[in-house]
Amino acid sequence: MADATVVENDVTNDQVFEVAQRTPKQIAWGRFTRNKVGVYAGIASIFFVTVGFFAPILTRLVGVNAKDTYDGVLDQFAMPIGKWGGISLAHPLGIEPGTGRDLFALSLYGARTSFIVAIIATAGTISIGMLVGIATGYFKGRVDSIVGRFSDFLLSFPGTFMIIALAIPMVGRVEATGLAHGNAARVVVLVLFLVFFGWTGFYRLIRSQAMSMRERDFVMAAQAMGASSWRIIVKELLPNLWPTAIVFVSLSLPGYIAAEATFSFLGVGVQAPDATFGLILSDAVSYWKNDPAYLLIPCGILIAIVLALNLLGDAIRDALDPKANR
Amino acid sequence: MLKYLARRVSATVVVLVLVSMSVFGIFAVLPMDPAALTCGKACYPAVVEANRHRLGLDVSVPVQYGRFVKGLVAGRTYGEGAATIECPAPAFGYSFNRHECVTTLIADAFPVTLSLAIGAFILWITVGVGLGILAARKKNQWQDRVATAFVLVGTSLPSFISGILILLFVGLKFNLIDPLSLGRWISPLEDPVGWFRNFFLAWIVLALLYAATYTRFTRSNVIETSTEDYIRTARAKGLSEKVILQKHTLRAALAPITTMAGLDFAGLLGGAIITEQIFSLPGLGRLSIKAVLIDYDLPTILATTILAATFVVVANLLVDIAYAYLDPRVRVA
Repeated sequence: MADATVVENDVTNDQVFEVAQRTPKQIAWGRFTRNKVGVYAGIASIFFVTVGFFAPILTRLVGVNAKDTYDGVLDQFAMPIGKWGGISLAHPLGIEPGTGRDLFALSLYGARTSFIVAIIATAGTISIGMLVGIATGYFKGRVDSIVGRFSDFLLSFPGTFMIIALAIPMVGRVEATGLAHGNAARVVVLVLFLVFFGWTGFYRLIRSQAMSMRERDFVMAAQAMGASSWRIIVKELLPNLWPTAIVFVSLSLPGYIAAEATFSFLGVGVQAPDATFGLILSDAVSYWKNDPAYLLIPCGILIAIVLALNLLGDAIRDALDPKANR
Repeated sequence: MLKYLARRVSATVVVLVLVSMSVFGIFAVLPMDPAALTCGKACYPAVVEANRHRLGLDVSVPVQYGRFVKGLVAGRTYGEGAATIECPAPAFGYSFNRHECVTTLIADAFPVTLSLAIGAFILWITVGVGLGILAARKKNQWQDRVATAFVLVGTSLPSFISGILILLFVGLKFNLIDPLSLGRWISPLEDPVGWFRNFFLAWIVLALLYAATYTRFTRSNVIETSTEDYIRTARAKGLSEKVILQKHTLRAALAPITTMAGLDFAGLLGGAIITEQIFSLPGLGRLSIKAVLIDYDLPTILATTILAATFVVVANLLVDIAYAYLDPRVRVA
């Protein structure tokens, strides 16, 4: 209110003022940059993703790779020589017991796999959820009730277990088509299943928003002007649905990263000799007493990645939706 | 109310039939041949065919499904002559790999899963709802920050990591858990202390995940409810803060949490796969994951999947009925 009176006074003084309007984007960005935790989490997230994607280059720079079994780094019990799991200048995160591979390289490649799975799965979830959510929320009708029933139906399945039970035979099926083999096929299957069991949450969110938005004045105005449904969806609904999608992306990425690690830990997903955090950790459990660093270092990295992305997601949500009081 | 009840129950039965049918259908189209898996690598085709017949896999999928339903109601016999195996109703099938009726396997595993679920449930409701209310009451004070940190840790730690870390670096390191009793089921009726020792770390791990979500949810619900007009009215009437919280705020704020709790608990009854796997608890989750990873024991997989889905569907029904009972508007909807 106080601001309004100030503007009025200025206007009465006959001065020409250019009132700098801030777009919603700028407002959100301003709110985001004021949140220190969010900014640091954002920097950390970008760091992790970059490091993951440049794994081949970075490992070469350090002079290691994920395939070689190094000589002279393991003792006669196949345990790393030296303290903290054999951390040294040549091997910054230590050595994998048993084989003598470099843990730094394994972690980097593991992070890369996690990010690839999480990003593709998120993209899939978003596209399907957006498409189906808008279609059912905007057009309603019979399709809406059928899709709604189907998603209820899907929710009653034990998703985690179905993925575990179906992944192994599905990998065989994907390999039989000749599109992907080995770990590539496993990644494809995992992503497909994560999307299949994951899209309903986002679809419900978008559907309810699209439903309430179609009753709002700006959509009705567009309808009254004779705009086509396609135009209304693209020009009126989509711009208003993006914030929801961005928040969902930022919170589902860490979720999918954790899911990928969990499934590979349980033995579904990427298999040796390729590396992923779940695989390293399931191997590290048997060495916990003699080589705790081998367990704790990958654990720490994975937790740091998920934590950074979660904090970033929270900050983005706060920035885009100030009313959401966590 | 009776009409609503009849409608919801019949809808649930339809969903259950559809769920069990699709589980059957999904596993039937997979390129896994359970008959071939019954007798290792060096196997005569004749043996595979005989096993296929004994497993009841030589008939079409709808017929298999019909037999499965019939078995649930009336029990089922496998094989002929001297090698006949009887599984009394409700028969979920016969596991040729474990030489046991699946119903027996489930009956052995269920108390473990139930113990795990109940203990974790009590823990997460107490911690989650309690901390959520505290955080809402002390908004922006240190209690609230502690709760926020707890939520962050709880939601960021994948449960297999918290499981490993707690089992190894707390349980085994400080001898809180007996390594020899890992993987054994200790009945609380026979040895309550042993039962508690076997379960309490698993309860913590499982509860951590849920407690974080519940803290967040309770906090925002309580904060939202306390801005309602009727709370202001209650305050204007001169009621004490305690009475307002107990009689007015919590009653409205906790209703959706009851729904969530019912569904989450039911979801756990189908087996907490990760926690059971890490703590080697021989419950339904471990039964099903072993059936997948070791020998692809199809009858067990089908039974545990259908059972888990049944728990969720039935819990949905119960929650709906409870809502209709509490809120008459729901019945006509």
